[in-house]
Amino acid sequence: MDHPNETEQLVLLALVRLGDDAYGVTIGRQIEERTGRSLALATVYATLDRLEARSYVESWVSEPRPERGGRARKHFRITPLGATALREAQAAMARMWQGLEVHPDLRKS
Amino acid sequence: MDASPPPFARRLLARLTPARDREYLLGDADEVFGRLTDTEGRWKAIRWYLSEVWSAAMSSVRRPGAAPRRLRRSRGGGGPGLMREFAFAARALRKSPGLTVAALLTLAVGIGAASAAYSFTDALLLRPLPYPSPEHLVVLWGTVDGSTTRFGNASYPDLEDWRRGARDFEGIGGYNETTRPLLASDGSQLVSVVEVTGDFFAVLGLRAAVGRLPSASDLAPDGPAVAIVSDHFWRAALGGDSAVVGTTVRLGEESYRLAGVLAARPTAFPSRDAAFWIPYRHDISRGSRALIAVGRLRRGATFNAATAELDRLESRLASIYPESNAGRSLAVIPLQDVLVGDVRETLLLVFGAGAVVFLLALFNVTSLLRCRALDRRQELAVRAALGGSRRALIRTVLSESILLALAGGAVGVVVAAVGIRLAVHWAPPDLQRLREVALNGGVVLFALGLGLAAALVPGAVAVLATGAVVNPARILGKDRNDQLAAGGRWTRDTIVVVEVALSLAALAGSLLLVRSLWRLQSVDPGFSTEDLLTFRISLPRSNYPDAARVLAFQADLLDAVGRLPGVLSAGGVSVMPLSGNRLNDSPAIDGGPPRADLAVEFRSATPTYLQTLGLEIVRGRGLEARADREVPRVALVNATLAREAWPEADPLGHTITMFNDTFTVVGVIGDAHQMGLERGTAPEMVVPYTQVPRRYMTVVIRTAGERPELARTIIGLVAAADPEVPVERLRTATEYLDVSLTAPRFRTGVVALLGIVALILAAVGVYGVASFGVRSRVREIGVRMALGAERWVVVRWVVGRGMALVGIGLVLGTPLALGVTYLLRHLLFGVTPLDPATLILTPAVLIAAALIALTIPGARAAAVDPVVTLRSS
Repeated sequence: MDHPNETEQLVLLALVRLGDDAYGVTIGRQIEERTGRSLALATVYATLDRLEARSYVESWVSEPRPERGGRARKHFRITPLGATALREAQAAMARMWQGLEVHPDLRKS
Repeated sequence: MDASPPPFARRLLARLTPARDREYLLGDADEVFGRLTDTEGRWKAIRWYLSEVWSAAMSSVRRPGAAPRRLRRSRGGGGPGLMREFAFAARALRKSPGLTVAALLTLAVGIGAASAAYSFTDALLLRPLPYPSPEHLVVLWGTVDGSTTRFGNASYPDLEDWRRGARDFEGIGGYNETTRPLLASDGSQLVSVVEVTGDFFAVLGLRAAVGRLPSASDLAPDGPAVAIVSDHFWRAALGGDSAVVGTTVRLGEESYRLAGVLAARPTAFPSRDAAFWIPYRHDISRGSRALIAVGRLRRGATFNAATAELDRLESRLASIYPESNAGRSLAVIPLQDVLVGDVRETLLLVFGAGAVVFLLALFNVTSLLRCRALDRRQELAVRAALGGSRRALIRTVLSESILLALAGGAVGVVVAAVGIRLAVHWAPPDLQRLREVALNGGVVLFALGLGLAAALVPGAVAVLATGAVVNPARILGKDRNDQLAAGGRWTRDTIVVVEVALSLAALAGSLLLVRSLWRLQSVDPGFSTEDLLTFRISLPRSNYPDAARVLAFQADLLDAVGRLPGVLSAGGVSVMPLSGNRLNDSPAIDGGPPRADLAVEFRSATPTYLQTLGLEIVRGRGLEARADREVPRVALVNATLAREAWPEADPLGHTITMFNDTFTVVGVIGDAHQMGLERGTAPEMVVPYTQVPRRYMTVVIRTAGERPELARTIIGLVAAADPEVPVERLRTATEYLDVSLTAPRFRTGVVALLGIVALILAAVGVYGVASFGVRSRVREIGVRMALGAERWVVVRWVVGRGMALVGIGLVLGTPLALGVTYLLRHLLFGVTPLDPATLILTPAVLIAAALIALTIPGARAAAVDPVVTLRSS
């Protein structure tokens, strides 16, 4: 199983948080609100495409909403495989962190 | 408020997004854009959108997969790998903006100049005329035996006889360009009119957009009075309304029924200003040759056979009508040649200069990229040593030059478009096919081809320069400075030599043309053109049926004009010198046979004409005010005619016969140029208006200083005398001169511009190579200075080396330059191809430019600090 990289992890976590409301705009906003990092839509979609290719996410297209300018959206949700991979990544990170305290001035030497 | 993103950005974003996500990503982007517009304002929203486009572009370059994984795979070729290679090249080029901008501009100028030159050559020389089977279209020039002069004119009966008798022709027609006042309820307007006869419309394959075109029988002298209106005049002046067909227009004295509208053509032959086409009905006697004959050869007929057939017809006509047709023959000339005229040489010249500029640009870019490749040797050698395949390395080097060439080509097309615009604006108006010159697909294709050449040549040289590809071990073992110094000095030097040689040739050509133009502009036209105002009137037969009324009107007008404030004197002449019009014929001297070797310009003039123009009376007297139609006819001859007709004797008292009238010479006047400054003065005679009256007259006015307000006064004056007589061609004599100078000015301007560009490119080339030389030898220079070399010795070393190459270039370029000046010999006026000033000035200018170019690397070499240099190595 491939470890998702950081951006991929951020996107996967956003999917978990958003549940059924996850699509391009909300995913981007969720990540920006929580981390302060703003991802371009192209980056979000490219990441989702990569995750979908690995079956970590699945997508469906919603019906156009019955309002003015209402349009079809591509929604995403995390798959069990994706959830497992996310857990794996978290565990790997946790193991790396175990028993460490990292201070910014470590880099100096 | 508009909450949708800019359409171009949206289209771009759509392009850059993979199809499967496109709809949703665009929708998402619209949503965010709308929200940002509401919360942060439109500008912030647009900025965000553009950053989205940028990110999409970046990720489209990386797609599919992340960058590191692609590195290996790129070896196999294929699309995404190539795109990545270009992205890599783009980043590399962005890192050295100086080189990139220099190479880009050089390429753009080179490709632009060559493409613009090509578009002119293509439109005027290569592309066939926009008529059906244009290769069969010919003009029939009449020539008089024993004379080199070609008379373009044919008489109506001659033309009809050819039309009926010549089997090698599908049809023959004739035309005569003229102007007529178009009379309307709200005043009269002078319009350009073409009088046509015979098969004119059929020969050219012209069609009517509305109505129908008259046939040959409609155009016969006893046919109906019909007129055809040109497409542009119909749209501009008649409102483009089909209902005007069938109505009546009044052109001068006659009324015509408007029979149709001529379908638009890119080239309107013979005149693009022609507003109306009417039947030729002037003077249909055999001796009056006012028509120019055009014909369409029958399929399979050769030019020689057609000429021979016409000659047989002509000799038969000569035996029947000896008094009008003796000694005449015909030449058949392709219409294309006539329309292109003597611009062929000009165009080839412009094309040649464009090609030289392109070559110089190519050499400069080659030189630049070569230096760059040498700089990158180390990097490439490392890549090769680490197992990078040779193909991948070559692709890395090539992709940079391809990218540069594509960008250079794109900017070059813009340069070409601007250049074409400018050139069309400045081009001589008699270039008939000028309207066809435009930036078209062919030109873009040409630019693309040049761009491709510009990519491959420098690219290939750059690849060769990086010996790294072949033998990385050798490169890696050496110090960087040593490699640079050793790196292909021979190629570099050759480039400089060739550049200097090429630019010497280009510069010599331009300087020679500039000198020639200068000479031409300082030609004395034979009369002072300062403060000289002219206009033309012609009196309609209906209101002025006899000579007495014509002369009375003209005399009254001259009198009134002469009394206007600011007018020193005013005179009248039938044909204004340098106006482009002429009336000439062969004279009979002292009752002898016609002198076919002489073509004498014939003018009627009023007594005040000579003094107004400032023509000197060399012998005898001028024209007298009292001369009227009864006394023996008198004439003045110019010095040239006096010399040609009476080489031994005093011309006074001798007679000369022209147009069936015999005149006694009473005076000799100084020579003036009649048909253009570049042509010599022709034999000329001047007779009194009162003895040879004309309905038309050019009024010549000498003013005290510039009097722009006079134009309005004159128009009012003529309108008050007769509102149906329009003032034609109101202009200063300087404007006449300008017309005669446009063509030489055009070609000189274009070639001089290209010459200057060539000079700059050569100087840039010299500079580039010298400064690379200095950069690669910094350590050597440092050592020399540490060992006590003075700074000026170092400067001398750099400049001296550069100048030695320039010297070789000058020597090798001299035969080339002489070849160019020899090719130009027909375009020169008053200077020879071996003009000493040009021969001295050209290399001098090049040497000066090279010296300036060399001072910068020279100064850089002098600024080398030996301590710093030695420590760093």
